[in-house]
Amino acid sequence: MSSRGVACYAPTKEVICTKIKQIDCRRAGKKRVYMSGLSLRTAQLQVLGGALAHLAHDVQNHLAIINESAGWMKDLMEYKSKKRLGRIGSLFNRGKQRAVLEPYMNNLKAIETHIKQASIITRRLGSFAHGLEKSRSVFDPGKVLEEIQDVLMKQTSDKGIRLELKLTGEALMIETDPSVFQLAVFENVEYVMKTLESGDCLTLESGLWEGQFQVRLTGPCSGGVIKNSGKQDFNWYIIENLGGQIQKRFVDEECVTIMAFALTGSEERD
Amino acid sequence: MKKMKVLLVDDEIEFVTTLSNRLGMRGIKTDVVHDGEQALEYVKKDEPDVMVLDLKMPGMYGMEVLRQLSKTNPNIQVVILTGHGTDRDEDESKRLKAFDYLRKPTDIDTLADRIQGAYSFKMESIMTAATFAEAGEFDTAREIAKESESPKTVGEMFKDEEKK
Repeated sequence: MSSRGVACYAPTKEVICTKIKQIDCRRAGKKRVYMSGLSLRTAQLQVLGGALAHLAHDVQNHLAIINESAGWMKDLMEYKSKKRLGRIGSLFNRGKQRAVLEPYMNNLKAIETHIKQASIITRRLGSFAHGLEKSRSVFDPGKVLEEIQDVLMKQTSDKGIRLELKLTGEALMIETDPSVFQLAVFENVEYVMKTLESGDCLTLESGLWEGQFQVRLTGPCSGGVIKNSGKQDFNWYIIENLGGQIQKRFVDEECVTIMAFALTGSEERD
Repeated sequence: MKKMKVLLVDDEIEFVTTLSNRLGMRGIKTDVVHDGEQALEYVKKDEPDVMVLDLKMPGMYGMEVLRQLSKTNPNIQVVILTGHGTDRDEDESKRLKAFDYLRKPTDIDTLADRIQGAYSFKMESIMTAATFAEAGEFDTAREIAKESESPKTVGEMFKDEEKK
């Protein structure tokens, strides 16, 4: 190829600038995808952290009950107060009968030791914790849904599902734990997505129905629809701690999932 | 000698009943209530010396009970006993002058020691304030009393002394 030929392929300043812009755009696009993935994981971790704190607390409570019950048995066997021996201990405390108690005492000590170990583990879990104070509060769930809508969009778009949001502009106040409410929405969306295929559209609506604040997820009634699922399909933790009703209805005509909450008040949002 | 009054506040009925029995075996008689509102009602009728308080309870959160007590009954020594226990909660309870902060499950003898310690602290403060009052150091006595003792008891004693 002649030098003239090469020269005619030489990019102009404009072409170089366009290429640089295209490369920058691609890099920015990749970065956006990466960052939105990160923000999704962060939001999910945040919600799970809150849930984990509650779980750790509940486990600690059960450990405390077991600890006290085991301790009470031990007290009854061996504790010597100023006035009396443990009631059972006093029966066995004479002579060789003391040996009868030993296996019981050893087992109670083993229970106490393992409670201590389990307690250390749950405390570590609890270190993820958000403070539990004010965990249950009166709040505007519409605002919470607005906060997580980007994450919900990402959650659905990753599977090729289009999410349409129709959120109420009215502040309908409900009382529950906001982080559990978020977790319930995420889990609900995840659950409904199992019945959908790439390209399907899922609608998430919030508003006032039958005097309650409701979050409704409606998908197309195509194949693979789960019919008449009960609330037992939900995570037990959510059911225990949400304080709202979760009704699932997947019927042929109406493919909808409903979370319903009693209102504690309503007002125009700022 | 004045008998120590201890109130246990916990919504876990099995736990708190057993705890009460075990403390009883160690010579610490206790009364039991199961939520924050009941605790505040109890305090209005019969002020305990020491309160063992859970944090996570239905209705009023334990920290809110502590906050109210720090305003209305600062002389009650509060030992927090919680299954949760974030550092933030611990810091807040210290700020509100809780006597101690223990995490469930705890050793019964440790808890009994802390209750006795809280009671001793309260009684020592009363005795110290009373000694200053007897010596005519009313301002110092009042300062000590403000920190730890009920105005119903030492406060009234000052009035009597000052009248003399």
